[in-house]
Order: sequence, then structure tokens, then C-alpha cells
Amino acid sequence: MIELRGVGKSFGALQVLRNIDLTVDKSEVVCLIGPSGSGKSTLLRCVNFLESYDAGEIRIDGRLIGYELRANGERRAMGKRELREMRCEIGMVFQHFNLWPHMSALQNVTEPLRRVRRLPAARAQERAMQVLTRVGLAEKALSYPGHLSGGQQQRVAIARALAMQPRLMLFDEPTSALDPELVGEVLEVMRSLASEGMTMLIVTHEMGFAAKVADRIAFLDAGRIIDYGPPRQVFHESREPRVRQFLQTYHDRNSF
Amino acid sequence: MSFEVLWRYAPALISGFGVTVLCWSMGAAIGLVLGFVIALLYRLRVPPLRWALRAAIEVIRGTPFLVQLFLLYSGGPFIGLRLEATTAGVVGLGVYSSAYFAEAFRAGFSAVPAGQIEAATSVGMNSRDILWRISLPTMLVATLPSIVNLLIILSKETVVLSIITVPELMYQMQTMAAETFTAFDAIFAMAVFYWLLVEAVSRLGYRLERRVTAFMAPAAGRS
Repeated sequence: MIELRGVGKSFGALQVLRNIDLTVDKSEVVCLIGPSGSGKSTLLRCVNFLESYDAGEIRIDGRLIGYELRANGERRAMGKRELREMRCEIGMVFQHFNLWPHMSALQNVTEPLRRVRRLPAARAQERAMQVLTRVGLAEKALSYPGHLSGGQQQRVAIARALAMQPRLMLFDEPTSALDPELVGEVLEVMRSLASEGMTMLIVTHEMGFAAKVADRIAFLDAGRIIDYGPPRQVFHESREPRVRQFLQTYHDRNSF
Repeated sequence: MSFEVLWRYAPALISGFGVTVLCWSMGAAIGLVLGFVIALLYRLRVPPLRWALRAAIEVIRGTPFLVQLFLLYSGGPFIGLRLEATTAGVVGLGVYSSAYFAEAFRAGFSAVPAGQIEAATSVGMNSRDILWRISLPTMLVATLPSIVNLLIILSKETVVLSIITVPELMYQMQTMAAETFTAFDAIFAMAVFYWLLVEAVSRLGYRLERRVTAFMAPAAGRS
């Protein structure tokens, strides 16, 4: 479903992604973990081309995103329309929710349905209420983001992405900006999505969640995937010193 | 203080006040529309266009309104632009204020958090919808206080129009003062009229601001 081959990216002289290979199959949940600055978020943002990549290929269901290959093997930027078509099949949830503050929770969900899916108002509203109910926020439908807690805002953001009926979902540190007490409600929604077979690529620092929900873990360091495999393998049997050191620090910080 | 003189000149003064309000509101309308268009063009990121707009804004902001008005009214005929005084006044106010409004809008656009636009991009919205549905509302809310401020300043710039014989309030006051030797009364009455106008605008602006920002403030007990 998502296929990355030899993906590389630089910001000027700084190489943030180096030769990344990664495959996420349908209904699979893959978590990207690693120290900050390792390129996890950049990698995730390349998948829906919010961030461009310089080298390699990223394919969604076999289709290259962001570029068009020409007959002579050269590639050039993809047309805006084609890119929008691909993006609306990929749901994305951000660290800071990024809800539109001038719209109610309901309008935040219906807006893309109206503008992108071109649904009539009544159909959009009906579908929006379904997804809001699903994330447990039906009674907050008319509240504005400024009146909702962080956890509620993030669930609205998930509903907004979900209402588009995407083929896969990207999560960029979805709980990092939340009070510890509110993390659970968001993870719970994500867990239920995973159990219903949603394909998910998740950047997270929630190791417990990653260990329980992910099918595969990819550990990034300095723009490279230095370890990859099922959670048990990466978390308990890794031979990479960098991984062990990272997890040790994590354990130390979380034990008291 | 002679109320008798003021009373006698009341029709002229009220008509002058009317002309002031008219010039101010029409000039402001032109300035707002023109300023908005300039801010939009500025966002296109076409370098030559940007330089041209920047140069125009700097020239307008860098020279006194009085000079611009003279150039338009007295210099205009040399390039075949013959405007009646009030028209010249309105156009002058519009062009002059457009530079300031454009800057306010430009700052407003850059105040829209990148994340809001990224979210819209990620669901596949096109740039036109992103502009009108996402950027614009946030931008307008952010700009409203400075727009109200500019409107107030502009209302007082209208006095300059008296110099090119637009029959606005200042002009009528000067006429009255010259004919009746009541300079103090005239100035006092001017102050009252302008104060009323500014007070009305700022109250309206304040109410508008409260209305549009209501959804942003975390209201207690309304969670």
C-alpha cells in the first residue's frame, strides 16, 4: 500500500533522510520511533508530499506521489490536481491538531467533504455526525475548537481525516502536545481504528502504544532506518547500540 | 462662544459633516478593496510584480497625503486627468489608504498559522478554497483591530481635502470662521464633530471585534 524506495531528502547541506526503504501493507500499523531530529516527521510528511523528497520513490497503491515519470526517465513535479486527488485518499493527523478555529467541530469535518468530495450539505453533515459519534464527540459537534480540550480537539482532527474515508492514515506525534491525562482517549481511538483494519503510519513517542498496537516498528536515527521489525524484536532484542541506549533513556525517565 | 453663529451656520456645517462622512467612507471602501487586491497580488510571488507593488506602497507611505492630493488634483490635468474636487478627494483618500490597508492585510495573511493551511492541503483542498475558506477568515480576525485603527486615522485625514476646495466640514468651518471671526467656536465645533465620528467608528469596531473573536476565546462554563 505504501512503498518507499531509496528515499532521500536534504535541507541545503543537511541530509535529513538517507536511502529509506519501507513498506506498509494494507491494514498494517507501522510506528516510526527515534530521537528528535532523526527525520521521522519529515519522512511521514513526504508520504503525502507536504514535504518534497529529492531522491527515490514513494508509491501509494503503486502510484508515485509528487512526481510524474516521463518517457525519457526524467521526472517532473506532479500536476496540482493529481496531487490533490492523491492527498484526499491519505488522512493526516498533526501534533498540534491544526483545526480551523473559525469553524465548529462539525464544520471542521464537513468542510473537506463539501469542498473536496463535493457532497451536498445534508449528506456531509450526516457523515460528519457519524464519525464524530465514532470518536465520542457527537455532543460537542457545535463547539468551536477553542472551547474543546486538547484531547477532544485531536479526536475532532481524527474525525476530519476519517470522514474523507482515506485508504491510509498518517499520524505525526498525535499525543505529544497533550496533557498526560488526555493521551489515553486519543490512543484509544487510534487503537480501535487499527483493530478495524485501517492502514496506519504513526510517528510517536508512546512506546507502550507502539509495542501493543504496531505490527512493525522502524527506528530512525540521523535520517536512516537503523532497526526494523516486530515490536518485541526492536524493543527487547535489538542489537543496535543506538536503539538500546534510546530505550534505556526512555525507561529511566519513566520509572520512578 | 457664540451659539447664535453656530446655529446660523448649522445647515452648512451639517452638510459639511455629510460630505466628510461620504468622502471618508467612499475613500475607505476604495482603499480597502484596492489594499486587499494588492495584498492578494503580493501573495502570487511573482518577483517583478512584488517589486512594483512594494515601490508603490513605499512611495505612498513615504510622502504626505497633502502632496499626493495636490499631484492628483493640480497635476492630473497635465496628463489629461481632470477630476472634480470631491472625486479627486475620494480617489486620493482611496489610493493613499490602500497602501496602509495592503500592509495590514499582508501582515494578517502571514499571521495565519501554517498548520491550518497544511491541514487543508492534506485533505486535498485547492488553493482557492484554502484562501477563501481557511486563510481569509483567520486573516480578517487578526487584521480587524488595525483596520479599525486605520479607519479612524483616515477619518481625520479628510480635513486635508478642504485645501482642494472639497466642501467638507473643515472647509465649511473655515468659511464660517472667516466670515464671522469666530475661530475658536469653529475649532471647538470641529473637535466635537470629529470626536463623535471617531467614537462611533471605534465603538462599532469594538463590537465587531467581539463578535468575530467570540469563538476563539475559551469561554468559561461553555465547554
